Amino acid sequence: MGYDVTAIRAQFPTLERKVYGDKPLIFLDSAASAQKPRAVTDAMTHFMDTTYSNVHRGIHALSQEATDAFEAARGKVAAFMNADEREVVFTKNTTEAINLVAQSWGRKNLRPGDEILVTELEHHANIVPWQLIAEATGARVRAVAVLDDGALDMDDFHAKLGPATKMVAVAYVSNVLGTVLPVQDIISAAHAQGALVLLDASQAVTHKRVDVKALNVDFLAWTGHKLYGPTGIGVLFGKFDLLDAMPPFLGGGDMIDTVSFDGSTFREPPYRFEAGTPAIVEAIGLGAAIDWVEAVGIENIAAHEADLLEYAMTELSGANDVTIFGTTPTKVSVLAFLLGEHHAHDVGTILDRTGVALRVGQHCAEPLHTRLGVHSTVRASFAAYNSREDVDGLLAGLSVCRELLG
Amino acid sequence: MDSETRALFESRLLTLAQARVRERRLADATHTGSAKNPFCGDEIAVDLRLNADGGLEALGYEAKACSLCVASAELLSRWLEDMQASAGSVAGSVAPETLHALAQSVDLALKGEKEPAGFEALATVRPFRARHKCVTLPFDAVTKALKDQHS
Ligand SMILES: Cc1ncc(COP(=O)(O)O)c(C=O)c1O
Repeated sequence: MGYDVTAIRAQFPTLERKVYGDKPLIFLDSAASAQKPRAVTDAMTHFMDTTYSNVHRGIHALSQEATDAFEAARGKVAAFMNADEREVVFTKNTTEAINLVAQSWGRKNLRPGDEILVTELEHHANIVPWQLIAEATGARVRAVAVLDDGALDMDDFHAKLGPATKMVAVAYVSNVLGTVLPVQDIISAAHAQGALVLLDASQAVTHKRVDVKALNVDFLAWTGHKLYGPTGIGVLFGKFDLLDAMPPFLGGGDMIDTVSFDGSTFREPPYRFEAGTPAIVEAIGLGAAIDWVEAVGIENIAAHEADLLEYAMTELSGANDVTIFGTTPTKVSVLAFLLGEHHAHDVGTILDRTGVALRVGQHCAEPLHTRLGVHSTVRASFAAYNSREDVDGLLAGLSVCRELLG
Repeated sequence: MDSETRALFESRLLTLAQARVRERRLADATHTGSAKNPFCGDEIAVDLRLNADGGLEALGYEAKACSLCVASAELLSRWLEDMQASAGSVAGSVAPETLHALAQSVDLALKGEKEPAGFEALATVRPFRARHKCVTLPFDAVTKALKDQHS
């Protein structure tokens, strides 16, 4: 049977609501954060109603059950990206995962003159942590150029990659352009130079199968709330030997072996990096989200989204007043554009009133907007639950914008 | 389209923003401040010329910003001209405290209080909470400018 978007939508209660009185919600902002299927909220509620307790520290039945459920969620995350469980660190989100690597690995390994290579299309979460650690260690952050169509300039990448490069930190998929970066080539080239690679996979895990072993990537970060899971839970994958050689990021309970006033010793990864009570319920929710995605099939979701993207791209490129940013063949369903000369916020305000929820602005990617020579963009993103009718809603909303903005 | 949205996009604000008649930098500014809305990247720079007694004599602005922000800066520039023309100002200047008070009243007007004279057109922005910052951005720049003193 084909992809039944109606049946999928029925699992997302939020999509049933109306806004501004009688306008059906057309939710095209999943790249910012996705809606949650009932399976996720049910799993979290059920856990809180039946099994809730702190983890890793209790002798009683509930604590042991809660620990089992929490660690089972880690197992689902590991299987989802083909990692070992001890290579999965739970964090708060992508931002914390990248900061963890920058502060822990960076503080230990970066020296004055070392270089961290990022790209012009990064989310601020994959720029600022590196700037902070560069400032503290004397290392330098350099950015690889982006071409006009939204592809990474691989000539510039090879020119900037050199013996001084210690870390290549790049997005797997751009959160504005939807461009999928040639990460396999990037990883091979970086490794040949002796540099490590961190992939910001926030926008990748939602649209494609990510296999850390096949990629041979060193670190990979993503966030649960974009993958139909709850907020407050993110993932850092790190190769075990790398994690094992890294000092803690935060100190406190759960991450120690022994504590005395002469000093403390730390647990093995991933626990060394999970100080304090973790986001237990959120981890359970993320596990349920992964179950949900796997049941639908990430490949099926990707194919459905590709169909929506193609439909939207065709319709929008047909209009002579729409400029689309990011036109590479390797593009997932993240679609940034501008309508004529109109300010993205005016377009967003009017679309909102027609029921279309999307994001306008710089999408936490100011350097990319500077590179594109635009102030801000309108971004529509399509997820598992979007339909062609949603795209039609966007097109109808744009007609209203034309009418009101002239 | 609902009446609020129509009112906003058919309001005088957009005409003001399109005309941008008062947009200019002041070559002889004594104070300069800029403000940026990190959400959308909009930016505005405001120049002020204060006299030796601290009275505001002139205001200029330059904006890379949306129509609501530009319209707000236009209203502000025109307000200053009106104030200077009125009897309340000493020798054509306006006390910075008056400007602070104005910024506060604009803020309160967006939250539902009556708009200060000259700013009635802002009423159409009130229902659009996500756009309030667009209107207050020029005032943020003014506040920063007043803290700045050219050497
Ligand atoms: C590419 C990319 N990186 C990082 C992030 C940050 O995610 P979070 O805010 O969950 O840490 C996002 C989400 O906005 C993103 O799209």
